[in-house]
Amino acid sequence: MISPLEVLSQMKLQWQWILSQTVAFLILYWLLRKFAFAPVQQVLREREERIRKAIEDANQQRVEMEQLRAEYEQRLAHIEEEARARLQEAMQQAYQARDALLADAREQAERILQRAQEQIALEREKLMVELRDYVVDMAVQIAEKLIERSLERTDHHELINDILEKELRERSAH
Amino acid sequence: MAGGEIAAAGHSAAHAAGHKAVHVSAPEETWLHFLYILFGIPDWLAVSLFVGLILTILFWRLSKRLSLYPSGFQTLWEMAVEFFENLCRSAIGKGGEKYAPLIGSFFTYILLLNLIGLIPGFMSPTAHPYITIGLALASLAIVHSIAIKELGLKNYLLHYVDRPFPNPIVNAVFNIVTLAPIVHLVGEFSKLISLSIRLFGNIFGEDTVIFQFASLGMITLQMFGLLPNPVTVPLPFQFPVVLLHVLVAFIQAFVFSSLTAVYIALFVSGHEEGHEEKHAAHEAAH
Repeated sequence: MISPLEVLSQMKLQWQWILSQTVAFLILYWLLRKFAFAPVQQVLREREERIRKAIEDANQQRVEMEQLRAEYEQRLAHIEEEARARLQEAMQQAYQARDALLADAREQAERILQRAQEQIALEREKLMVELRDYVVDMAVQIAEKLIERSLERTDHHELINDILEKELRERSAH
Repeated sequence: MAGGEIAAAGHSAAHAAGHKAVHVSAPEETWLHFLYILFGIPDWLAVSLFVGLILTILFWRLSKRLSLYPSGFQTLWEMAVEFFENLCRSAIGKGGEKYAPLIGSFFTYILLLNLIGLIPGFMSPTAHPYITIGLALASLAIVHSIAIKELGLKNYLLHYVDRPFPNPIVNAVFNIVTLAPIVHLVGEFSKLISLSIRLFGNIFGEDTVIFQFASLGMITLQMFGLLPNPVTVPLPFQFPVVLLHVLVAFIQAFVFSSLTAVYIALFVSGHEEGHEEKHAAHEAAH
């Protein structure tokens, strides 16, 4: 049985060339590990870490934001409610004020009307009194005149009218 | 290694026969041939060292201007690193990310070694068996040192024996009778062979096909009597094969590096499921 090494030597392999390639690769492996892999892997890990952190931060911030938003929404709803209530209150007040004003105005108007009617009645009464005085006065004067002049029965009417007209004219001239 | 012999035979035939040269594989002279003339460093080794140098400079410059806000090449490389980490995690399990640099180095380096042959004036060093054996050796050396580091020496050695019975003496007899340790050793050795020959065969084959098609393209017009001289209005017959080569370059780099991950998983994960996985991985690889 021939050993594998003998087989290889029969194939005229030159071991120094094979080993030189092996050593060359080992050196290259060391260099690549140092320059090509270690730094890049470190950068990859760093970036992974950074991205993970960024995403975590973003998530946390989103949760906070949502909390804030819920709070604001609640507050906003509250504010709306309050505003509506206040508006209603104001309207109520306005209605009340209007009603009060209307009632006041109506009352005043009624009062004025009443006073006017009273005054009118008073005036009329006064006028009536004056008129009566006047009529009485006139009647007295007419009677005086009638008595003063002695006239015939036929001329009676004519005379009275005459006097009456005269008296009236006089009085209206006054 | 047969390919290597053919390649070597092609070379010697070319030198011996002069103008009647019949190249089977692509010629192995590159722009770095002066290193061979000056120092005796073969071209395939020079190209592989050149690729290593390029990678080192590229990533050294990248490491100087890394930023948390990636742009340009950093974006691409970060995607690649995450891809390697996922690959390791799926192959090795939880905590497998720490092997991502190893797997990534294999993938990147082998991918560039495969692809650089497409640049005129270069060759794919992975089309040379020495390079692939060297890489497979490096892979296994690292895998075994990881295994020793993770399992401890005792558990690592126990990996080479089968223990189907509860009684240790029965187990010892079982191992002696079935030659289980030798089978395991051969298994480890076969990993070396399968890793290196697969990579070498694929890339060498692709290169050879590209070379042949390119040669055919060069002589076609002359063959049909359209040109008086045997030189050279090349028709791009090799173009579809070049596209295929790009695909194969990715696939082979991926296979090599993910098999390395699987080999690590075989040691680091439990033994019983390890054997199942081993068979599954080998089935998948072939």
